[in-house]
Amino acid sequence: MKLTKRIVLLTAMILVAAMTLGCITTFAFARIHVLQSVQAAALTDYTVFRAAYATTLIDMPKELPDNAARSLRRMRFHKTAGSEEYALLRDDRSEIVANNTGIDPLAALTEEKSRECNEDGIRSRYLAMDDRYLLVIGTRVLLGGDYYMLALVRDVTKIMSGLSSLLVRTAAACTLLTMIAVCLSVLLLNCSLRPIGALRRGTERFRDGNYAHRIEVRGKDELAALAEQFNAMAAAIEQHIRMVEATSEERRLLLSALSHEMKTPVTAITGYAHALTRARLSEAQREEAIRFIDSECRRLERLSGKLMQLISLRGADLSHETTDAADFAAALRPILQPIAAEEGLSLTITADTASLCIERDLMTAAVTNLFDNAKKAGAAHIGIAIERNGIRVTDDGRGIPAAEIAHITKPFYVLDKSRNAAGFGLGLALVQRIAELHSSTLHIESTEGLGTRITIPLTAQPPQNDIKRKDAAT
Amino acid sequence: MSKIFVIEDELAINRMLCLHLGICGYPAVPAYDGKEALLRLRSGERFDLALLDAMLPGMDGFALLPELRSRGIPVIFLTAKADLASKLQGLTGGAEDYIVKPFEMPELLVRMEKVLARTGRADTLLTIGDLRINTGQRTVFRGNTPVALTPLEFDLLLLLVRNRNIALPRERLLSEVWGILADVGTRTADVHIAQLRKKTGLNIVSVPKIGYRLETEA
Repeated sequence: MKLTKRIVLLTAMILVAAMTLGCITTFAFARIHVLQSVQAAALTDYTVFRAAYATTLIDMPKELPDNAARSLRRMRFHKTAGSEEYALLRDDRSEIVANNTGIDPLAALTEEKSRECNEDGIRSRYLAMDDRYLLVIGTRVLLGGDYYMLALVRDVTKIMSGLSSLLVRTAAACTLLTMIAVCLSVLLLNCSLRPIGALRRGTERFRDGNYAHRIEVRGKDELAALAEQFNAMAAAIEQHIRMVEATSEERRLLLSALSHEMKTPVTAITGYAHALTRARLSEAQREEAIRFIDSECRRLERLSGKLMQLISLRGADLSHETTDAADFAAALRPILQPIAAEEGLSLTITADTASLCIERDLMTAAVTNLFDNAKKAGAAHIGIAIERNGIRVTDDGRGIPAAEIAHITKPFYVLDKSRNAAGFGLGLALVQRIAELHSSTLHIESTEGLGTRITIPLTAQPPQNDIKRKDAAT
Repeated sequence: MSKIFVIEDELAINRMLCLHLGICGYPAVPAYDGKEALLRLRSGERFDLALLDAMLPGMDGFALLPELRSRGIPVIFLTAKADLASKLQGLTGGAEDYIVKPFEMPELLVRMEKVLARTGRADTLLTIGDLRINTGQRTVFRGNTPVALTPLEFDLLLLLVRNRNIALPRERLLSEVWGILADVGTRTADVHIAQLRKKTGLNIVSVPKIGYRLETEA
């Protein structure tokens, strides 16, 4: 995984750099501290020695010959405790009282190479010499009117080598710590980046069509939020796909029912056409063939018309309007009364004073379909009531067997396959669809032999889902 | 000729089948629902073949099948049900053939001939005008005079007689009489038809753009 590698590498680099810097700084501070302590101790020793030596010279007689003064100074110097670390000599090297240091302190303490280490003008420096480290401290003292250099030279090789071994140990400890830190950070990173892998596998499975797959969400960090978002998206897509699948399945069923329904007219038409083109027919036979071709073609036309209506009603954009029940009834009468008169059945259309919110064309189609069904059921009287709580069509036809009521609104479901009823089983499916578009559903009551009552329950309010539908369309 | 029982509820299809069968010389008896068919069977009427729809009002085709079989009537299913289960149900139930709608009449006629031949119900003696054809002995008599036909001419005559009053395309004549792989021109058919006309004196008319039709007095 590229991102993890990159993050791990970056982290390791930062850790190494930080550890190295930390190690160097610590060592530098430690070194400065050690050297200052050593110098401070040496300075204390130096002032003590200088004072002690000065004390031994207090009782020295003023008027002494040079030789005697020199020997006295040397003698007193050697007598002072700790003198083996010190050197005392005149500034111009004309008299060397003593030198136990093994080096030339005057050269070591020239202005450029040393620096003053306190306000008394005492100078000091560290000096590397043949694998040895020396601390040189010195200043000028006035003895018998002449300036002398009193210097302390202390061997600090041990301390210096201690410091370098400290450096090695610090570096080793730092390396070890860095390695541990890098390992830990890799582990932690892998842990906290694991959701990315899960997310990737999840998207892969989703891509491969496993729409039900969801990612396990752990913790509350950004990756968990991302996984949650992914799951929400997956759920939305899954729902959408299920819906599309359901629609396509519905369409497929409708199509297979359609092709089934088309077989009979197509067989008849091709059969008659074959007879007309190939056979020698009498005039009567010829007429019959043409008549059947005509009627079967009309049947196909009606079938396709009904089906188109049914399909185009899916997802249709509808405009509901408020209509007086009486108006609607008045509009229905001229459509249905002539048919009823022709068939010799009595039709009553009643309305109350309600206002209905309906799509008029669709509702007219629904009522017409229900009227046709009642007529086909052999009704002698059909009643249509348009009222506050819905539209009701009542007939005294042969009725629907109780077991069939649940299936009767399915497309192409035909109750009684008899040669007299030229139906396709689409009428009630259409009415049901229209009812659904009015946020309603068909209510069918029937007693075999007595008649049927079908109601489309309506509310006075405009259907809510219609508004939603329009929102979704924009 | 063989008597055909047409059991089909769709008026248009039933009438169409009867029309074709009548043209080809088969006496056809229609029935429009299962109960009507059953009544006719129980009345003792004899049939040589039944064309049976599966979905019938009253009593469906599958229920009617045993009634037909028990009377020794071969059955061809004619149905819109194209699913395997229905086909198996029909064929294992004893139907001789199963034809799915929409079907073409020439195919149905050929299948009917095959079933009739297989069940030994095909007429071995065909009469057309003053011509008598014995399909078993492959002999033809015109009155009392035998007519000498080559085997090819005999097959051609049989095909025309069995599809009397229906125009047969030259291609079908060629493929059925000469075999589908025969590489003979359509002129060959014309020559043989002319020979057949001369030998039998039958009214074989040529139908423009289609082929030939044997016409009989209706």
